[in-house]
Amino acid sequence: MNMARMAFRNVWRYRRRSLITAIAIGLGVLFTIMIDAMLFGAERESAQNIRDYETGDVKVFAPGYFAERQFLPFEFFLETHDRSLLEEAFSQSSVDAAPRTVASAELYFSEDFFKVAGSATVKLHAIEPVKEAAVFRTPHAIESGRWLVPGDTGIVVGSWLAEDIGAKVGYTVSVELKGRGGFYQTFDAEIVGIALTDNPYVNRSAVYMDLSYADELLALDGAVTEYAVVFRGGGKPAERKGQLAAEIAEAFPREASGSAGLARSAAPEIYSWEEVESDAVLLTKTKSGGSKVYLFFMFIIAAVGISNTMLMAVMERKNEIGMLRSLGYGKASIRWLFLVEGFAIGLIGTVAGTALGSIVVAFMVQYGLDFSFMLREMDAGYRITGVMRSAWHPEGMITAIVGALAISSVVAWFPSGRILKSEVADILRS
Amino acid sequence: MISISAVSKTYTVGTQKVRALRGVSLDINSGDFLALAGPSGSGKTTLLNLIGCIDSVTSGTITLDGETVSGLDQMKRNLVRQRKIGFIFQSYNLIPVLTARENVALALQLVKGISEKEINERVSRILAEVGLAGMEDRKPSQLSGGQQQRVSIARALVKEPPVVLADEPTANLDSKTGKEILALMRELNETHNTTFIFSTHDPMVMEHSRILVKLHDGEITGMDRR
Repeated sequence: MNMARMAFRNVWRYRRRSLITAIAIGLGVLFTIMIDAMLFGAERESAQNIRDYETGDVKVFAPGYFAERQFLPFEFFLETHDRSLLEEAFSQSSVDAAPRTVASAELYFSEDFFKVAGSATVKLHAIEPVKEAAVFRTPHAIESGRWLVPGDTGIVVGSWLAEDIGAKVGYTVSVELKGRGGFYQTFDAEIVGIALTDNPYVNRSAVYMDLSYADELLALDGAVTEYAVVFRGGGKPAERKGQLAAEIAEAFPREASGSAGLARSAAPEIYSWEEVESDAVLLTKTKSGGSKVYLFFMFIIAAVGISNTMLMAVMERKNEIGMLRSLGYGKASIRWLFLVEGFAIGLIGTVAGTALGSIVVAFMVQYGLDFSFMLREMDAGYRITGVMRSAWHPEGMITAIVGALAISSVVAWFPSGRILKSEVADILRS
Repeated sequence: MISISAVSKTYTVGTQKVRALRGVSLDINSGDFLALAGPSGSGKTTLLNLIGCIDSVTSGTITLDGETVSGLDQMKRNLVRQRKIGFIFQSYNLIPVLTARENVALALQLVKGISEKEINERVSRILAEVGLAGMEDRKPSQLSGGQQQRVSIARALVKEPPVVLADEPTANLDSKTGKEILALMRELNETHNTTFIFSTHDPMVMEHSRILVKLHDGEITGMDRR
C-alpha cells in the first residue's frame, strides 16, 4: 500500500519534471487521437464517396472485364440476353441496379462557345438516368442545369472539368470515342447540366450521357459494360454479395452456349467496391499506415522522455533504493515502485491528451478542415473534395491510451534495472 | 549469536584490488552493544555490511543465529534482512514523501501475517518509545536531524529484529543530540535485548559501547570489554 502511495507522492514531489514528461505523453496521445480520427474520417468518407458516385456496393461485369478495368476496355460486354437474366436475378434480391457503359473519350471544345479551343480526356458514362439516380448520388448533385432524362441527347459534366474548360450549361462540345467494333464516333452534345459532387474524380473528369442515345451512336446493340448495384434493406455487404452471386449463378445455368439459339456468354462476375477500387483502398491504407509510423516515432520520443525522467529519479534516489533493499524489499518491489510512477505520469499525460484530443476530434467531426485549396489541384488518393472531417474512432483512441500507458510503464521498468543488479552496499555507497 | 570467521573482502576499484578486510574473526553475543571503531578505510563499514547481508564476502564465513549467511544468494539474504536485521544509517535514509508513521511502517509491511491494525499499533508504540509521540504524521522535512534519526531507529526496531546495525549513527548530529540518540539506543538495547553493532569514529559512541572492537587496515587490532 505504502509503495503505491510513495510512487504517487514521488510524482508530486518531482512535479515539474513529471509535468514536462506528462505533457510529452499528452501531446503524443493528442496527436495520435487527432490524426487517427482524421485518417479514419477521410478513409470512411472516401469509401462512402466511392460507393455513392463510382461503384455502388458491387459491380457486375462480363467475364474478362475486371482484369482490364483500369483501361476501360470496350470488348467485354453484358449482352441483352445477359442483361435480362441479370435483371431477373436483381429482381429476386432487394437491390437497385444501374446498367452502364463506361468508356474513355475525348472532349473537344471550340472557340464558338469557349474562349480557347482545346480538348480534354474524360470518362464517359452512358447511363439510364432514372436507374442511375436510384444507385448513385451524382444525379442529385446538379449544380446548374438539370440531370439527364431518358432519350436525352445532352450531356452532364463534372463541375471542375466545366470550370477548367470554361463550360456552362447550354454550351456545345464535341465528343469523340471508339464505338463497339473499333470505329470512331464523334458527336456534338449540349451540356445540359453540371454536377458538383463530393467525389473529386467525378468533378474532375466525369461526363454522363443517356444510354439509349449512346447505344445508337456506339452500336452497342443493347449491351453494357457493367451494372452498378446497391443493396437495400441492410445485411452484411459480403453476405449480400454472396447471395447475389448465387442468384446470378442460378440465373445463368451451365448450359452449352447457344442452347436456346441465343448468343450466350459465361456467367457475369460480381465484385465488391473494394475489389473494383482496390488501388484506392490500398492507397488509403498505405497513407494511413505511413502516418501511423510517424505517430509511432512520436511515441518513441515520448518514451525516451519518460525513460530519462525515470533514470534521473533512480539516480537521485539511490539511498532510498538502498534503504528499501536493506529492509528486505526485493528487486521486483522496487521496480514496481518505479513502474507505478511511470504509469502515474503516463496516466496524467494520457488523460490530458485524451481530453484535449476528444475536444479537437469533436471540432473536426463537426467542422472539419478545409483542404479544398489542395485537393482541387492534386490527387491525394482520397475521394474527398474539400472539407476533411474526422470521425470518432474508439478503436484508435483505445490503442493510443493503452499504448501510452504501456509505454510509460515499460520504459520506467528499465532504468532501475542496472542499479538493482548491484549489491545493496554498493547502491548505498554510490 | 553472530560468528565471523576469517572473513576477507576485496573490492576491485578500476584495475586495482583493494583488500578492505583481511581474515577478520569475531564473535558477538546476543544483547551486545558493540562499536566497530577505526579510521576511514579501516574496514568497519565493510564488516557491518557483511554482517547485515547487504554485501557478499570474498572468503570466510558469517553465521547468524546458527545460520550461515555468507554464502547465500541475494534472494535468501533479502529474507534474512527482513527477519533478523534492522539498519540505522548515518544520513537516516528516510523516504521524504512519507510521514514518520509511514516510514516506520515500511519495515513491517514485508512481514507476513500482520494486519494493518497491528502495524499501526506497533508503529505508534515504537514511535512513542523513541520520543516521537504526536509527531507521527510529520514528514522528514518537518523533523529535526535528531528526530529523523529517531524515526530511523524506530524503523530499525519496529519489526523486533535480533540485530540492529548502525553506520555512523551520530555523525550527522550535534553532540547533545548524538548523546540523546546513544542513550536511547542503549535503553532500547536493554529493554528489547537487541544486539546493537555500530561503526563509528565518534569517541562518544566508543565511550557508550560495552564492547569496542578496533580495526585498522582491514584487521582487528584490539578489543575492549567494559
